[in-house]
Amino acid sequence: MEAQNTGSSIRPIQDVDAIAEKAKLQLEDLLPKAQTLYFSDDCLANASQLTLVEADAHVIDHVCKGGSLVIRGEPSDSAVLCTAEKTYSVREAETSNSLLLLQSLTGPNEIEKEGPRHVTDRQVAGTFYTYLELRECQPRLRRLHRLLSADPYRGRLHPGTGYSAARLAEAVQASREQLETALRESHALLMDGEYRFLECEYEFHVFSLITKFIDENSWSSVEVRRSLTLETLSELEPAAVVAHCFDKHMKPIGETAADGGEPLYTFCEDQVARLFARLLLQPMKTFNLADFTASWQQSVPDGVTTSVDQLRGLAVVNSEVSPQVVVRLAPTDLPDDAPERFAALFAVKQHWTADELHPYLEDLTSPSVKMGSLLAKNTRLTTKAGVKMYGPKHAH
Amino acid sequence: MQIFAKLPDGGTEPPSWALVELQGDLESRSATSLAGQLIGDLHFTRQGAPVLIVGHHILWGKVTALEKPLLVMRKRDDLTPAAAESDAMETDAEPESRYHVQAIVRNKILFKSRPKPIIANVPKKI
Amino acid sequence: MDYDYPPDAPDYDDLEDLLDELEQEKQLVIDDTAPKRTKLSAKRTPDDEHYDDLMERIRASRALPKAEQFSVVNGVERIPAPAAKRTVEISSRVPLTGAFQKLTFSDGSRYFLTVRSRQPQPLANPVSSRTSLLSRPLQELKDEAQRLEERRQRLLQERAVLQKLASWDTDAADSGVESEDETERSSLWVQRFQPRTYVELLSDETINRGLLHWLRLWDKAVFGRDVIIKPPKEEKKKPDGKFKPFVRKPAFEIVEELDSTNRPKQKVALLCGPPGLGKTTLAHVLARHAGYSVLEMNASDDRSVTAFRTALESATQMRPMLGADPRPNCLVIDEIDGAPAPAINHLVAALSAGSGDTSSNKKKKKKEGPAPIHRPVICICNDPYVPALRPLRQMALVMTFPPTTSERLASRLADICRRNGLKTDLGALLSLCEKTRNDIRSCLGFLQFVRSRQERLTLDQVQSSTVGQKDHHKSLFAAWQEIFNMPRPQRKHLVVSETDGSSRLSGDGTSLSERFNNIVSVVISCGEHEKLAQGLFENYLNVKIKDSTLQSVALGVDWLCFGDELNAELQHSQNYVLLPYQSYTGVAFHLLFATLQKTRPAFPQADSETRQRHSKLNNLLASMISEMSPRTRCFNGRGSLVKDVLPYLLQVAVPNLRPVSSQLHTPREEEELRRVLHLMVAYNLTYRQQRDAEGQYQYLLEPNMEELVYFGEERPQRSAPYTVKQLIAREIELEKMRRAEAALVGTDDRRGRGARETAPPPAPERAETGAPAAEPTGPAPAAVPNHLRQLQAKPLAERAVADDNVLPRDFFGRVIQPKPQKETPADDEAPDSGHLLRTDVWYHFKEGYNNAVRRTVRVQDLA
Repeated sequence: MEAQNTGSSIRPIQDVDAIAEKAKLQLEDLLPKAQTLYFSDDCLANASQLTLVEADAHVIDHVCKGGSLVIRGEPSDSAVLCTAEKTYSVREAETSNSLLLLQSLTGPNEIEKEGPRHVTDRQVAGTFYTYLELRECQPRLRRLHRLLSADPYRGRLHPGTGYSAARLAEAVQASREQLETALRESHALLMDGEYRFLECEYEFHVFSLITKFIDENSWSSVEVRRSLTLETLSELEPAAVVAHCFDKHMKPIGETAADGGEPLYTFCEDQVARLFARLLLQPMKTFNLADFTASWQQSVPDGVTTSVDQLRGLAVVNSEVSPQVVVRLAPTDLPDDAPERFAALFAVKQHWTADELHPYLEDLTSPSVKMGSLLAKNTRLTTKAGVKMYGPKHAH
Repeated sequence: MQIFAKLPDGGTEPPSWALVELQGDLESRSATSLAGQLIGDLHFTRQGAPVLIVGHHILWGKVTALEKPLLVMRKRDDLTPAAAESDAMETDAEPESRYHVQAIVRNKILFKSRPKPIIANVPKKI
Repeated sequence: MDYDYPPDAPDYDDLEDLLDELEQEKQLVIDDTAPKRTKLSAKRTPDDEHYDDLMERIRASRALPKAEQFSVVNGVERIPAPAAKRTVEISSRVPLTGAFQKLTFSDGSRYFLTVRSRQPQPLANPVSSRTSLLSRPLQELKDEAQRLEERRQRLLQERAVLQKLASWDTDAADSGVESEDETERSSLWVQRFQPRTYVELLSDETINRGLLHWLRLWDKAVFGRDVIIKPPKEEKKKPDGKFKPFVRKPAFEIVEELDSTNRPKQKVALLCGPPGLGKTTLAHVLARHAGYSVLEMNASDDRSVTAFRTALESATQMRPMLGADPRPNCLVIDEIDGAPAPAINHLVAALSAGSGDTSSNKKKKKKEGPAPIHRPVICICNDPYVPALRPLRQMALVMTFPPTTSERLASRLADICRRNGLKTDLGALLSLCEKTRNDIRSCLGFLQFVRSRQERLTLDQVQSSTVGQKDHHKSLFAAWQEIFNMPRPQRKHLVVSETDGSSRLSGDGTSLSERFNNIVSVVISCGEHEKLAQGLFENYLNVKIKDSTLQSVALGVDWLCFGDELNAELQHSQNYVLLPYQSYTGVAFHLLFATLQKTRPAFPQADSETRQRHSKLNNLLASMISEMSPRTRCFNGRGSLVKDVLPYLLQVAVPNLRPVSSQLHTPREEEELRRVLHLMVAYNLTYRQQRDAEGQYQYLLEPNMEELVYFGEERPQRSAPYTVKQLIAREIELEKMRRAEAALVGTDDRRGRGARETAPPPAPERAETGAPAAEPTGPAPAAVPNHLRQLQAKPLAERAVADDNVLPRDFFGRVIQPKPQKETPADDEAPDSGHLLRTDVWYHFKEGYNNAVRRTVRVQDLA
């Protein structure tokens, strides 16, 4: 049959019209251009080589600007596709309809209304039943923390394992931009092109060097000078580490010293307090709240005030037991899976405020899954003394 | 592991391809390969409604815009995954892409209604 | 005076003569010497002076000029009646003024005469008073003459009526005077001494007065315009304290209220009591006494409703006074308990109708409904509790007659005897009364009989006579009661026999001989020996039998047998010599079983029940025998069938089958089923589905021999379950069909098929035969009677023909010709267009659409 002579010879328009008439179509009611569809010869090969990806406007835009799409993750990870800025989870969608992909086809608006009837062959590049569906999601940064926390920097003698940005990009399922943000926010030490975390005690050691130096110079807590500090302390510890530590815990007050025009720094209270809290909580998981707050406040340098709020993401206060205790709880310690995460959280205590929960759930949210729906799905809202508390869904 | 995909030549808008979606399958009577086979004729009425004649069936459909466009990505056979991997490891520069974004599909012609049979020889016989 | 008669009325000169003549005919001779009315003398003593005064005035009026003496006024008297100008009237109404004589005829009609002396006593100036030839204008005289003519006509009619009542005429006017005429001798005393007036009534005074009072209540409705005048009767009754004392009597209650049509609430009086008490007489006397003309109607004679209706309507609606007789009717319906229920219903409807306004009455009349009755109706019955009387009883004034007391009757009899010159004493009469059970009729008859022969009646004669015995009829129940009950001792009378002078005590009815005689007489008077014996038979065992050896029961049965034999012989040989002996069964039973305890014998029903059942079962048996196959019938006589065959047959014909589908039966069970089938078909038994009283469906034998074979409630233990009976019934139908078919085709060459046909049919075959069975087949086998012909399957012969050459048939039965299988011409016939459509690729449409499957994609999958 004519199907065999695909491509080379165009079927006579008479045949096409004859069939159309058989189908009770009024030829004058049809646009003059008829298009005959054939399977292309390589349609089967195409079906395995071609992939349809359903993309939103951001992705299209990114691609059309020449940007590349990167699929990241370990081979066994569920795939994510990253543009420069955003991360998308990739899932395969299957449909019962058959999707015929045609390289070229003239749409009804492009056909000239008038003219002699003619016929054009069109090749179907492939038949598809699946396509990839992209959904924007949160960057999966847990691997980053795991990698960096696994072997932190403990001093010159124990430099730990550092990771270059490229290596992190290979492993961490996040766009480059999101990765950089995450490194910045987690105060990763960039030294010799590699990122490292500081061990807590070592960090405290460096910080205590700084506070000692401040004391030695009899600076008030608001007139700390960065350059002098770094200069002096770099003799004891690597300059990068000192600088990192100084930048993490000190913040400029916006004034310059009267003498040298040097900007003055003061303690970044939250960071300092968190450092001490981490230190205090490190040896034991739970701590009597009253004892903790007392010793915590005593331990921090003068001029730094502590508050329970600063423990956000570090520990939670459990008011359900008597006496109240502080429980060390890091988001990275929790399971990835949402139900398991909630089970772990509610194992610590039964009722959480929304504020308390947020740091532990942030990475589960996505543009499509908001915090509210996450909570609604996994928790039960109760009101205790006018405060909204979230409890386990299936508590007794 | 990073798998890159980008336009083959970079920077320009990819060509628009078309998509015909059928609620059903195209099958071969003779159980042979479909490659190169004639499917049927696609007409458009003057109102813009697509008509597809497949065998003894006539299908009426409609042209719709896809809510989310589809990117057509072609996996490159000439580049082994290992090569791409090594490239990426060696250099910080962006490695060769594993996929080429070959085309973009923004519209589709959807035939979802039940096909109507074409009675081939009735009028002439009686 | 508003006389408006036509002036051309005939003149009538001899008015006085006419009146005289009439008065003579009526024997209404009233003069000074004649004894005053004695009828009501006892009660009318205050009126006597009144009459004297009256007579004076009459005489005075005679002196008036003749022309002025007559002023006959019809209707209400309007004469101003100056004392100087007296008028003489004959009126149906009570004159307003002046003296008058009330005339009551025996039929109850009544006139009021202004009395005057007959002979023109003061003849001093007989003619001189006629000073002028014409004292009144001619016209006036003419009018008067016309009126007198009418009056004459009326009187003539009245005379005709009176002649009809000739039998009463002898003492119509003056029953108080007894004459010894020979003519009167010849008449029956019963008629002659029938009470004509209220005082002569012997019945209970309460009843008498009550009924009269009730009749008076009708006055307003019947004599509507009379209410303004005080009826003289009312005045007469006044001394008796009106009727108030009687109303309080509990025996009956007269509702004195009148309804909207001025009728008493109780529209009918129902007199009830045993015969011979004078109910009819009372009704007649009182109705006449109250001023009605009595119309008697015997309800038991006028059996049909229409006859009753016409009689009722003519009696109550017809204006009874065609000019002359103004008396309204009073309807006396005798023996109303014999009337059919519809007639009584009609009466009730008529009585209750008209309670509304008159317009609705007219409408009702147009609608042919019963017209309301505006006349008193007195119904007489013996038994007020006849069911048909129930509606009537509710609206009636029911008066039950107590028996007349012997003393009262005796005194009356004594009076009669005295008048007739029969010498007797009160004791004899009392004895007579008792003997006749206060039956006045028989007493009078007896007395007349005695009087015709002799002048004296003695106690002995009474005792020895058989008066009052014969017409004394006892009901069956009374007879049974007498037989089973020991008589109570009765009052003893000192009887002095005049013949031998010895005195002896009359028996108290308890001595053996008296009992014996009594029962004999009772049984004879009852007469229905057979029924009596049945009642004895059914009741004698219910009596408390003191005989522990049951000897008496055995004797009783012997006596019954004896009676039965007697009866049989009597009926058989018509030899009535034996008849008297029949009575002694009752006597024997009385002597054997009579107790002092009151027993209530029940009416014998066993006989009729048994007879009914017997005939029913006979019919059953007959129907069964008639349809039994001849082979079986010839060996089964009726008796042997009932006694020897059927009881066991019903046991044998219960197959021992499990109640499962027939396909699941074992060969043994099938064999048993076949055996039962043959048996039942041979005896024409089958099972029929029937609905019992509780709505449950049951399969019963048809004909139902169980009724014939089993007695009472007892049923055999072993009975086939419902499903088995159903199966048998179905198989019997099939078997019958097969046999009928075999009979049809039996003669031709298909006899060989018999083996196959008698085999139990497989279920599919039945299904096949089901459809043709719906059509009636041709000639049925002659053995099956027409009314029993069943729908039968078409013989398989036809089907067998079809079997040989099975041809498919279409709906209409035409043979479908197998068409050669044609190739679908698509390819060869339309090569030009068909090939275009025949592409290798074809479209396989899917009904649904699914886009919900999502799979996680691993990174390695994409690499």
